Amino acid sequence: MNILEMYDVHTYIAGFHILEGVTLTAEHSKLTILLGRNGSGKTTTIKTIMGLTPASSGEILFQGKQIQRMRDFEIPWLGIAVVPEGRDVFSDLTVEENLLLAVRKGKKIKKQRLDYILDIFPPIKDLFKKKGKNLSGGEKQMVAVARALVNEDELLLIDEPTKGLAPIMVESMRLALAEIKKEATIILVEQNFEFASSIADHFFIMEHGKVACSGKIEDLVHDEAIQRRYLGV
Amino acid sequence: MSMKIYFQRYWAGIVILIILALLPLFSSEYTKIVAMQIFIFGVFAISYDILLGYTGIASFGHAIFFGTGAYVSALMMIKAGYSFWATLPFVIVICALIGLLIGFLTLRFATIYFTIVTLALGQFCYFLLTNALTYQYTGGDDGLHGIPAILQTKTQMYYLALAFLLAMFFIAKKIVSSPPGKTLVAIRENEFRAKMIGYNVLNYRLIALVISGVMAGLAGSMNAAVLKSVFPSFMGAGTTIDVILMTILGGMGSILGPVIGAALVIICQQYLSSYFEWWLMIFGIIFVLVVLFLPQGLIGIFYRLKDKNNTSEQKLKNENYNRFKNHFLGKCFQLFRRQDS
Amino acid sequence: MTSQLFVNILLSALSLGVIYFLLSSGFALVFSLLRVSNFSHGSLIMWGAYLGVYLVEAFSNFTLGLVVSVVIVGFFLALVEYFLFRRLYGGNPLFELLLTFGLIFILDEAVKLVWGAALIPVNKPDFLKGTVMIYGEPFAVLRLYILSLGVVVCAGLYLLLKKTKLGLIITAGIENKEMVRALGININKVFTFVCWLGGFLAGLGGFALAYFTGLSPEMGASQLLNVLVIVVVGGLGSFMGAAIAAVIMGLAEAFIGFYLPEMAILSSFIVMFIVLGIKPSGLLGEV
Repeated sequence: MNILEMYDVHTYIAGFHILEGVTLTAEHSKLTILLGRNGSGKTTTIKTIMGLTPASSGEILFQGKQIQRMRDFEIPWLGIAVVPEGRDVFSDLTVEENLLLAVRKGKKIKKQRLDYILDIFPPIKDLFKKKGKNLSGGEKQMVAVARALVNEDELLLIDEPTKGLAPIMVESMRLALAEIKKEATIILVEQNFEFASSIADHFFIMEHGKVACSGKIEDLVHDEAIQRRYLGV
Repeated sequence: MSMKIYFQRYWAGIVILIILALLPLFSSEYTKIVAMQIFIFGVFAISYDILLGYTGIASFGHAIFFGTGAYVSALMMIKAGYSFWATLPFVIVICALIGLLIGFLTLRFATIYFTIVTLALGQFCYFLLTNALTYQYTGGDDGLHGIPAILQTKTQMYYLALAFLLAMFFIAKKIVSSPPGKTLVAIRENEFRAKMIGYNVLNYRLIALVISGVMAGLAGSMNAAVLKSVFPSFMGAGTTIDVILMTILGGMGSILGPVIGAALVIICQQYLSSYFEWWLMIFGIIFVLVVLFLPQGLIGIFYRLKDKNNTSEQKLKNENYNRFKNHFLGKCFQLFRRQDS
Repeated sequence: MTSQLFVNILLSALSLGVIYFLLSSGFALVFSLLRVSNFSHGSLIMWGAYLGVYLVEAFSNFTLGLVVSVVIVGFFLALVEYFLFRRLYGGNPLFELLLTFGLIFILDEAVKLVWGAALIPVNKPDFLKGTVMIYGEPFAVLRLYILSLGVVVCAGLYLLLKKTKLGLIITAGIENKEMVRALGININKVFTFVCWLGGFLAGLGGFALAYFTGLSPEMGASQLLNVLVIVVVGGLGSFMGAAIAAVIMGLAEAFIGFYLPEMAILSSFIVMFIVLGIKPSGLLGEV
């Protein structure tokens, strides 16, 4: 069963045609990965799903329901959370406030949910009172992912979580994602092919604002021709 | 381009020019003065349009240049006996220097900085003019009077002012259609992209400010010569407000629009303000409506009507151009994004 | 200078600084979140003053008049945001600026239409008359009232911004609106609220000012200038910077006014040129 489907989605930013007909699907409780070179439209795909750069044509279905005409702030309420490329942890807010801001229902983070987050990212416990601007890159990334876990969202969109991280942080991020994957569907944008192939189920490779090829990750791992052609591995 | 086509395209302009050329023959002195004010403020509004319409930065103290030009000319003529024409090089240099100074201080930051600082600076200059300390030079609130006439008759002055407007109009047209003028528009449309392509945004804005300031200063000088007096109100907020009204109502980014705006505002001031006590409020409402619904100003209506008569051939040309632009710039944009990350 | 005189000038300077803070805080708040420089802020200040004084007399109740008038001025800016600003978001910010500029004409002329163009002296209610002795020098109760008003507003804003979820959203929105939306928050509603708050603060500042200077149809324009100088000195987009700059302006005006009375009218410009000469982006500015 597919949790998210996109059919022939076109997106313009400031008059530039960025997505030129993206068609992709994400299977429920699987990890789908978007690969491709810089500028191929991966981040825009994420933003278009979130309604931040609305699609000008095409269909986006979440659990069978059309969402491409919804306002950006309505989409998270369906149960979609995003970890943006720049992490976008608010620098003037503490880590606690950053997490609190993401809470949609109620005033506090549910106890069992907080335990779940601290289970995945134990270091966050000690960062609670620290302001966003005083965090290291790896800490910011943890907070950004944790913020997406505050509500029990079914779909997580995660944009380049390993960007600029030290190898040891990349490894702990891999473990964290493997853990998160047990409870939620993930769409991951990634440049690091090794990292991607170790946790993904399905892949889509994007080029020039379109999906160039897709399939099961095992097939890609063995197909060096495609890797060379689209990923420059 | 043959004469005939030229005439077909610009017949309206040519007719208006002929009327303006013949106007002094059958009009009163008062009408001539109003017309001269329109010509001079037309130039002032053109100078403002170069800044607001083409460069996209709003000065709320543009009267600084206008007043500086007027006072420099007046002081040099009255106190030092210079001829009017001899004062103009000084006006040009001084206004250019003021423009550079303000620009260097403020244009490096968000353009709103420039707006606020020019507003404060304008008020500061106004206080300076009317201050007790400078009274012996500037005449304080009374202004300076008794500037020697530069031409014998009002009619001659009228033609001089008209020639001044026409000259500045064509110079401004030349500037905005030159490659640097096009670059200004590109910066206005997308500052980030212009920076990425490698344009020095600050320099372009500085140049625009200097050109605009010099032009405004010359308009101020001309105003001093026409009225044979200068008043601190030349430097005041009211003058800046007038020029903003003219430019926005007439249509910014068109050079012609602000001249029409100048005519409109001055005629309303001269003839309507005595009938309508609340004409400023009506102007305010029109102003807000224009900003919201008619950003190209009143001249935008004219252009829209003209567009309807466009041949389909031209439309096709535009479409092809847009398609090309979209494609080409789109690729550029992707390139930048690549460099970004 | 005796220490008593010094303390007296200092207290006057502080109450002036507090008025400037009240006047400029609304502008700074709206600018930092919406990135709209609201040039009609001075006119809202004037409306706060006229409406406040009028309603205090109409209700013959000081507190009621104060509250109703500032709430109305707040609603005015909220309506402007809802019906006018929204059409312009995402476009060239120049148009927002021009729009608020156009509003000045409408608001200022409306004041003249309703209350006339003449200066109107304002009668202080009894409890604001008289003086108290501080450090052996008489000090006007009115100034104390303004000082305490400033403290209350400051504390209220602090609590709102730091201790409520709305405050978190505002702080977050100043930094990154897109991410706030991506968390499922309708930031447009927050924009409207912040505009209401901006108008509220402008009205409050105007109300306080009215008991200080009386009413004049020119006060909108002159206060706009004051406010703009203060926010530029403080650094555009910095709320804290505006607060600090307001106090500095009050100090400068009181002390320059004491030593060089003829320069008092230029004092804010002098401070502005000094600050911008040293740090062109303002005290705490980042743009």
